[in-house]
Amino acid sequence: LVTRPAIAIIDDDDNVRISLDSLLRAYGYTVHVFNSAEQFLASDAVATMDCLISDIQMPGLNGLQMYRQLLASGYCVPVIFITASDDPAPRAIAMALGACCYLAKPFESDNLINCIKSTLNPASKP
Amino acid sequence: LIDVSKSRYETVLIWCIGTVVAGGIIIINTAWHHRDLAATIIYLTLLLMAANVFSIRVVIGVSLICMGMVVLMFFADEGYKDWESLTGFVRCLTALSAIAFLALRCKRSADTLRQNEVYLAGAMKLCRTGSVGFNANAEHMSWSEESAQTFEYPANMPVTKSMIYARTPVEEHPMLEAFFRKAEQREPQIEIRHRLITPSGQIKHIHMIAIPVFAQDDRFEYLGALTDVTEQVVAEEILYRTQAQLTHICRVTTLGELTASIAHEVNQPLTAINSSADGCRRWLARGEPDIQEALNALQRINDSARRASEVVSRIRALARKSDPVRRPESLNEILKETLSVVHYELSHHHIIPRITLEPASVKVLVDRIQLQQVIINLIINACQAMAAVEKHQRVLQVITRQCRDDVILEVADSGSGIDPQLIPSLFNPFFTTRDNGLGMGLPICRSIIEFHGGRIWVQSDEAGARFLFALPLLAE
Repeated sequence: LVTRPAIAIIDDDDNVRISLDSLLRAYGYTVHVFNSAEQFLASDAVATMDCLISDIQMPGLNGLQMYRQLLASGYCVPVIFITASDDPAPRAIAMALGACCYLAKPFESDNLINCIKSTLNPASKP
Repeated sequence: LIDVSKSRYETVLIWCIGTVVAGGIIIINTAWHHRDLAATIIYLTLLLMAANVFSIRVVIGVSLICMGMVVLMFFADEGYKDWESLTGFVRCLTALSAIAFLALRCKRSADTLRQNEVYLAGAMKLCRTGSVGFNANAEHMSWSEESAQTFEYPANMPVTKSMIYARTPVEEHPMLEAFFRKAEQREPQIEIRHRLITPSGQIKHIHMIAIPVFAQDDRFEYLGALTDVTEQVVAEEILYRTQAQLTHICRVTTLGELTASIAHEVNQPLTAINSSADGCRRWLARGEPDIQEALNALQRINDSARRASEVVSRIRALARKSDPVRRPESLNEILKETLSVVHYELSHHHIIPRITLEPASVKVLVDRIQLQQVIINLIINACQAMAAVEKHQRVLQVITRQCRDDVILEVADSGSGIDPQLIPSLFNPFFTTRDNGLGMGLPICRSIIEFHGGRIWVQSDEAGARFLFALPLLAE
């Protein structure tokens, strides 16, 4: 039996979060959803995720601040940032922090799937 | 009021009659037996005619000459020898002097009256006001030359109410009817503003105020002052239009500052639509299609499309160029809708919004779009005022509350406040503290709030600035 890769989606926008959840489940991933960075950090999922998909602009902690905290805590999980903002500054910060992908909303689903595939071990492809 | 051609004809006629009278005097004076009484009658005629035509000095002169002639004739005829002639002479002289006295008094009053009339007519011409006399129940009216000119009728044409109706656009006839109905009810002051269409197709705006000047049981006459206010109305319309254009330009400029927010608000549902559509296809393409997942995805596509279209409609309404329309609206609802427009702006600037709404659902008579424009402006200003504040200390308070007959909206920031020296200039056009600011935001806010019968003011201290506006509550 092949273990399905676990992906966490962190986005404060309900429709975006639920849509991505459905899309990734349709591709066979195990998906965990969180509506804020705080909720994710407080959960057990932190240690077990194979990949994170996080929005940048969120009330409270934003995606970049959350990623910094994860790195500081010693977690080294691949992160894909998604944002609806056209501000170029967060992209540079995200890439400097070592983010795998940075996608501007709205993005093609194929781009997201390709990002996920390239960040995960090819052996664990569904 | 003075018809020049008419008075000229009269003068010619009077000179002709005067010549006849003078001839009469000469002829009568030659006739021995009719000198006394007949001569006096003709002197009286001459005196009255002179009183009508000449100045007061000439009238005095004529009366002295006439009396002199009577005395002269009396002595020339040796009337003192005859008792009957003597009494006749005294009678004639008494009558002549009494009538001369009355004629002079009439002449003086008539002169004063004519002078007053000329002054009144001149004053009316100067202030472009005509007079109108009317009775609620009578068809016939009277008016001054100035009023006839305003309505573009010949000055000497007898005036009727139908003539007024004929020049008034049909849709404004009910206003005129209501005006005359008020006159029927004998109201102490009645007023009307309506339009006229002249025979040349020109539109005039007139204003009339009338008060009763004569009241008896069966007669109740009004005197009205009629003014052509076309220039004033046209100037007001131009001002109104210019102000509306400026307000629109400023609104579009503000929207320009919100493009990032707008893009964000549209990109979110677009992302959901894209992902849901691809997810749906994937669920259906499985060996065993998952219909429920596909249906859920389709529902999300619908919801997201609706949300995106709501964002677009809101923005389009703000960008649309339209005349303000005041309707009864809930200030809380307008505020909530506005907050959804600036929602991203706040989170982008790491601003914590604290919204406190007046619990009673109070209504105000406002143009929704213009009021949103004011609130957006105040919120954007507050966001900019907090740029230098630590991220977690940026608090925007928006409060609505009822205060007696007003509802107040307050936008408070946690910035460093406004320099007290700048406060008096804040609402002046082109006053700005920003490098890229136009300085029209707050002046436009003030003109919008004042247009709605409200007021706007600012309070500031070291804890931040508070912009407040009050609008009159709509009576239940």
